[in-house]
Amino acid sequence: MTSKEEKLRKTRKKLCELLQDALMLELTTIPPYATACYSILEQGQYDRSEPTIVNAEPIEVIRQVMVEEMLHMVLVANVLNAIGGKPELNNPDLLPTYPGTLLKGRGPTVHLRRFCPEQIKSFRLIETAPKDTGPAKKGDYRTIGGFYTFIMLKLEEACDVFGDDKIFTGDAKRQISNDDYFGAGGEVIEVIGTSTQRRDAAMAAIRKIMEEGEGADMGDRAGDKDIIPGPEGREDVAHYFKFNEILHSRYYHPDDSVNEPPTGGDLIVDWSAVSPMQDDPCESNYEKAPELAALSAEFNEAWTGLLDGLHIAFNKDKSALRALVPNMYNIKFLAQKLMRIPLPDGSGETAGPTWTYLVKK
Amino acid sequence: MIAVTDDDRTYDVVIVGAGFAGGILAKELVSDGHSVLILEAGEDHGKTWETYRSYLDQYYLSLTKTPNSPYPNLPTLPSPSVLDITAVHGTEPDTNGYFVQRGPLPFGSNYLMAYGGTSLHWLGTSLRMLPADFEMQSRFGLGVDWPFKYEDLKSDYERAEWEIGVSADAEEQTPKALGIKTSGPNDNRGYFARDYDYPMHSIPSSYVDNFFARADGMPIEIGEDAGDTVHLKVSHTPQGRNSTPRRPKAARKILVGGEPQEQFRPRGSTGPFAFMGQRCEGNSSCIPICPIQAKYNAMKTLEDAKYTGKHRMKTITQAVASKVELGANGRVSGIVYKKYPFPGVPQYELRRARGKQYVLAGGAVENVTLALASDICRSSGELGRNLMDHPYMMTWGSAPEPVGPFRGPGSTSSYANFRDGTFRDKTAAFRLEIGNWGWKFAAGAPNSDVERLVEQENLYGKALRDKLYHDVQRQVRIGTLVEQLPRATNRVTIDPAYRTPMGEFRPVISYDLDDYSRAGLAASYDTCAQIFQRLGIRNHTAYNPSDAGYFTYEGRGYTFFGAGHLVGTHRIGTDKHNSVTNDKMRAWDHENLWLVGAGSMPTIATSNPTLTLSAMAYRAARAIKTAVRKGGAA
Repeated sequence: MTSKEEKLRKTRKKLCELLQDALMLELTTIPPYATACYSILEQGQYDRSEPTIVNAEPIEVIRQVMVEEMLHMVLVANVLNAIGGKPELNNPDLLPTYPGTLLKGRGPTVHLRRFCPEQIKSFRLIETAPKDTGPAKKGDYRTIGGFYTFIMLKLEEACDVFGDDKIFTGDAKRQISNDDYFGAGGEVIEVIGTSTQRRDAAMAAIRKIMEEGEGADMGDRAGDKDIIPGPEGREDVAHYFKFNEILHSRYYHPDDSVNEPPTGGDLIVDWSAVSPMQDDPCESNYEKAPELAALSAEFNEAWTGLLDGLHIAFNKDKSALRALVPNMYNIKFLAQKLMRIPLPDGSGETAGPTWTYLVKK
Repeated sequence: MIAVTDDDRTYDVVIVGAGFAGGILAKELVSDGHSVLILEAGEDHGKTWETYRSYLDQYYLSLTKTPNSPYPNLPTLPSPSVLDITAVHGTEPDTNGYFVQRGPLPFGSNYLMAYGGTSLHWLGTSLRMLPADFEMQSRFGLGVDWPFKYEDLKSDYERAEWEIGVSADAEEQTPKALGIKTSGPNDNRGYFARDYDYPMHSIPSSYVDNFFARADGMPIEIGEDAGDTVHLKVSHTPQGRNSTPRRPKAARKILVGGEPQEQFRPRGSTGPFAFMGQRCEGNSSCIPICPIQAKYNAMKTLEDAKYTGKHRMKTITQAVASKVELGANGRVSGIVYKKYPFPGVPQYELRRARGKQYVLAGGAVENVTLALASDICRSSGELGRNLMDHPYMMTWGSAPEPVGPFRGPGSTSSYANFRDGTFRDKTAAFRLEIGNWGWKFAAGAPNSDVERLVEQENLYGKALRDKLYHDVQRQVRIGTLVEQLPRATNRVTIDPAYRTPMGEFRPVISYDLDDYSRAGLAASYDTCAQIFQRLGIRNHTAYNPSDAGYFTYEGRGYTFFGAGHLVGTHRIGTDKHNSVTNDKMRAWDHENLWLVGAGSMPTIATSNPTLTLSAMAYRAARAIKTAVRKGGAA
């Protein structure tokens, strides 16, 4: 093997590792978002004389961020597959545990918590824009935006050094398209075509993730250039600002300045209509309560099934994605069930999902 | 005399009713630069997420999930409800509900007066009519012919399918592919235009559909001729709900009404929930409400119109059109409406809306009560007559194995085989709709099962759960939608004795099933019984003489319900003696008045009328645009 080939092999390996990390990064954010969403009580579960759903809007705001993270997972998987990598979704060594840190300790710590201001603030922290992309470009990234800046740089470097065709060697059959993906949160970018087209598409995909996320390079605006479907084609705002909306009980205009509070319409938040789920639920709390342990196991099975299904969809058979929709409903149902059950310790707090992948024996 | 305040502004077109027809008309007209006012009788709701959410709340809290259960029923604006239907005895009309029912059979259908109209609770079935359906008189000597043919409505069907967002595959939907032995030799040719296809792929078949498909190929005799025998086939039903958008084949785009189209972008919820509902998730509550708006509703089209029209488009809700006023030459000079500030309080201000052209698009019944109250459109004597519906009959049973009901949209497939054929000279055509929700509509399952098992079989705990699962998992149901012929005696009238608290006329309805439809229902029951037998389904169907919709035919009794398909009361036609409007839906008697909606259809045939009325709205919109441009001159 020539030294150039060896170098190419190493570069490709490094790129695959980075993208695999990105995949896990996106995945890591989903359980906290989902947990917060599902902890909000539904119709009939809170004490209200008027038959109105409370917190429908915060749920939708968090849900929108969550489905965009799911889209980001698909986009990262497409890029990873395009360069011939293997997206791993069910490797227990790589999967997140909670509490845990993002970016392998460099990023903020994430917890599983109910819908509360502290948790929304921590979501905001996750989606914070990098102040200075300079260190990030050298590999010293502390934010998600910085991390993707680094990935883009490395990918461009590799393409420039070895040529696009040496990098984009993946099987086009593995590309998830809008036909396969249950299109919420935006449209999928397929990394297909000539090697130059694939390079452009890969860059566009990563840029889309960055823009929807922390809104780093959007100037002094809250908008993320993404157009919300509908006749008005309103511009969406980046995740960071979506969480700010909840904290301020007010929507942003896309033209609002990032340094000012939002100026749009009211967004009504009721922090009290929430299940008092314990922070960072863990299996050891269920040891004395076999019913809870069984329910928790059932939840983890469903979560494991989702991850296994995603792994198949990204590596073998795209059509597996569609079958996961009922699975996601099941996860929601089981999580809500757990969060309605008080813990036996008398603390008044309730159980919650631990989002643990069950390793097959 | 109470003074009527005139609205400040005169519009190009004033439309009564913000539903399927009103939405399409408004969008078409404002896109052409015309100004539009919509008067909607319903509450000021549906425009924002809060009101749609409040519908959902109401739905979750309702004990009986009837089609109108999520939506307000105001004293200011009573709506017909399926819970009000009782048998009509003798000459005493049944006045339980909003309708005054003169019988002899009760008219079992309802509709919804709200922003978005009945589109809020429709199932989404979007069928085109068949060529024969436009020629009932010339082919079978029954009913009337339409003033135009299938071919003339084809491109408007395409437009309507793309506006609603219909999920189906054209190659599966030709009469031949559906297994229909058409009554005309050329009915299959060019049923779809060459470069046309639906905007989205078919909704996947349910497990129940696949179970029924096991009887495919089974011969069923219908009519007197051996040649009429059809072979059963389960086929996808085109539906106005979001599935996977179709990718046009590389260079050749899909031509819709002659216009090349890019890949369709599914429209989800309105308002800030735009990321919801871009695909159907199988929430299984299409009727009465889709929680994510993956099912089309007219609010989506109205939102487009509002956005395109900007200041040219105005909607006034809580505005009950009360009288169409005439000026010189029988032209309409204004519409007086009752604007009520508080939903639920029958106090109002009388106002007058003015336009160059006026459209009644409030549905087949409301259009008629308004026209009758205004004493207009009288020369044909047809106004209010020829009321048709799809008498809806159910057969239900227990499958020999679990079939996974209560999942997915209410119905995803049907037996379309009986929608046309030479048998139609004696027996009404029908469509057999395969239900996905067990005995929900037929017997109130699964709640009724719980009640039965607890109260009658004394079960509880695990035994109850197991038995419930066992029973419910095997529930299957077929619904029959049979055609009706236009009859002068099936009609909507008004009577000063019956008014709403707002002083508006309540619809007085006379309704019956003729032997033609009864024969169709009997034939469909026999067909279902054969299908059940073939598939080993135990028949649990029970028709009780105490049912409101009980009727007999050839010594056997059946029960029918309404399908909510109100058709025919202001039909189009060739001259002022046989119809209320011309084929463009302009009133024969009043040159600047248009009546648009399912009431315009001369026959109902076997397709749910929404798609046809939507297509006809495009036809009317073109004529109205021309009329506005000409300044209303005849």
